Amino acid sequence: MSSEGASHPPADVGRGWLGKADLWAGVATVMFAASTLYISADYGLGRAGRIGAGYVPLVIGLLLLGLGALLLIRAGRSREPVDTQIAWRPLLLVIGGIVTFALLLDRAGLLVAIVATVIVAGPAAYGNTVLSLVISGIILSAFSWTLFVHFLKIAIPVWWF
Amino acid sequence: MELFGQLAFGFEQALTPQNLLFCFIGALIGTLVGVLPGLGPVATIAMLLPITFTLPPVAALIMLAGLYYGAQYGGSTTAILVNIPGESSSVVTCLDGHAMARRGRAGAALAIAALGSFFAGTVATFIIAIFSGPLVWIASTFQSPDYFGLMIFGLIAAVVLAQGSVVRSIVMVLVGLMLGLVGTDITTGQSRFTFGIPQLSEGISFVALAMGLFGVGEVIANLARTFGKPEVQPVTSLWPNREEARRATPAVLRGTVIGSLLGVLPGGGALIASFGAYVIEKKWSRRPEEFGNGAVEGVAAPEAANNAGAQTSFIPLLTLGLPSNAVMALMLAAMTIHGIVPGPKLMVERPDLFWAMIASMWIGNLMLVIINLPLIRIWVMLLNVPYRWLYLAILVFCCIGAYSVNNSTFDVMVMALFGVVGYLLPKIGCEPAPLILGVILAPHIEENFRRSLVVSRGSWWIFLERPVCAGFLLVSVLFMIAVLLPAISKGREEAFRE
Repeated sequence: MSSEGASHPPADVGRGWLGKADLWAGVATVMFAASTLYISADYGLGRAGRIGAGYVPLVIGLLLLGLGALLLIRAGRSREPVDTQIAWRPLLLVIGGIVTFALLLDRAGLLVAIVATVIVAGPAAYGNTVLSLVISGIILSAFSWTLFVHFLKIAIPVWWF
Repeated sequence: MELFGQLAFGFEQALTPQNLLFCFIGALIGTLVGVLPGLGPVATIAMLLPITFTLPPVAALIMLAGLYYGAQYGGSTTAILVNIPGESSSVVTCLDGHAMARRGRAGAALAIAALGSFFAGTVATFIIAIFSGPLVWIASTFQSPDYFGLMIFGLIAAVVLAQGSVVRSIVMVLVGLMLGLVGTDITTGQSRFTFGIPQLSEGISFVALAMGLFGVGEVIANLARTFGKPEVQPVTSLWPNREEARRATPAVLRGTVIGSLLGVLPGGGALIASFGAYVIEKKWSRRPEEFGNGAVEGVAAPEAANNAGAQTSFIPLLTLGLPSNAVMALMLAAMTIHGIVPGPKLMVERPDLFWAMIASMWIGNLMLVIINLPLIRIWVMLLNVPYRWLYLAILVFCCIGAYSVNNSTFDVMVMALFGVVGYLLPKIGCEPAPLILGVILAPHIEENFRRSLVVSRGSWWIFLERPVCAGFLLVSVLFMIAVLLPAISKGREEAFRE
């Protein structure tokens, strides 16, 4: 899965061979297949009638490797362009907001985590000001507490103590 | 008349005040989220799954089904009034529904959509009740190789019938299958792809993965576009006039039939049903030039079809344990969380749950009509909430949802990772839906594959010796050949372009 994320196309690729969706899908597939095959190499294939933990990963990995190669080959005559427009600001801020939530929840509790998440992820959309984000964060905290903690009684740390 | 006895039994189970309440809440929240643009049914159900955790299983499933139909129906409201598909299966409703709204017939379009959906839902409820028995009977004769063949067929058919490149979709299925193997192998006890992380020993959290791919990915993609303030068409009279009703009725009937058929197919469900119904209406119409300019049939048929399809797509899940699309994969995950294993045994071992769920589908549909038409002004108000506030609420609920499945902040991180993947995959032309199917089916496919090889002492011939399995595999191969033939693949592309 990490190979999927790592192999997104650079922003400067042109319309030629490098600009084809199939090429980048093929690169991602081959990398994913190769890394899973490498990791699962010592899982054990078992013997006839009692297959080991590595049998199915090997079959899937080889199929993926083959299809990845097929994508690379057909990229030459494919006409479908890759989309190189990556919206870095929303991507980083939204993911940053979620990571903030994950890091703060156990340490600072739900209410603080929500306000922090909103403040981190908020600037992803234009028009949000710091004040409006603090207010939205507090409203969302209050609403989430009422719904999830008070009514639904979901086990979640509310405070830092 | 056994059928009516069973349905009556189901209604007896479903019609408790508590279940009615949860059915109502589900339909209400589903509509609310469905009306909001940019959040499809998969993300909606995943996000709201934690709400059902503390409920008894029957109530939880009834509520989830209500959520699904609600999300479906809410999408049409947005499509008609604002020309933004609230979710993918209402894309075609935009064409004629919004054109009708522009001519001042918004109320009529909404009423036709609601009543058509209700009619289709009623028929689909009976279809599920009628066909479940025989299917369960057939499925009860299946052995491991047959299940293996069935699941391979399900995956291939889902890929072939869905939109986009077949090769890349198969890659997505295989990547999903690999991700589904993460964790401790049940038979050998060996850890696979866990990188020594204890939280991965029970596998990747399916809910976190689905929310990341569909919810977070969609949020990022939506933020990348600029949103203007939506222009909402005013709603006047809710009643279609005589002419509109006369034209809508046969279209609803045709849409129901087409939707029910297409919904059962793997990869089918609401989306393909509404597209199919629209294309057929347009081809058969004596006034094809009206389509796109507010043809009543162009609203009635796809709306009936997507509701019928949404419902009949429960058939393979409830009888065979085979999820045919991403929403059903999530339903399967939800059932597993509540300790229910869908499949042929469900109807025999938990008839209360099985029939209650079928009865609740009809109740849910009735509630949608009741909720939607009188409350239409509230939904319109909701459309005026700016996206820059909305997505913050979506993110917070996704975080809480991902955490609450296993009480684990690690799962929130998993969601963040798949959010990145979900945003980037469409950029290289890959759809996340087949991946989800692969993830949920991986353990089942491996188990049946393994059992088959135990029986055959390691020979792959067993998959061709059992006629049922061989049949499934043969049809899968034919599907693959068909789709790779240039002539047919061109026709398929055209069908999706409509």
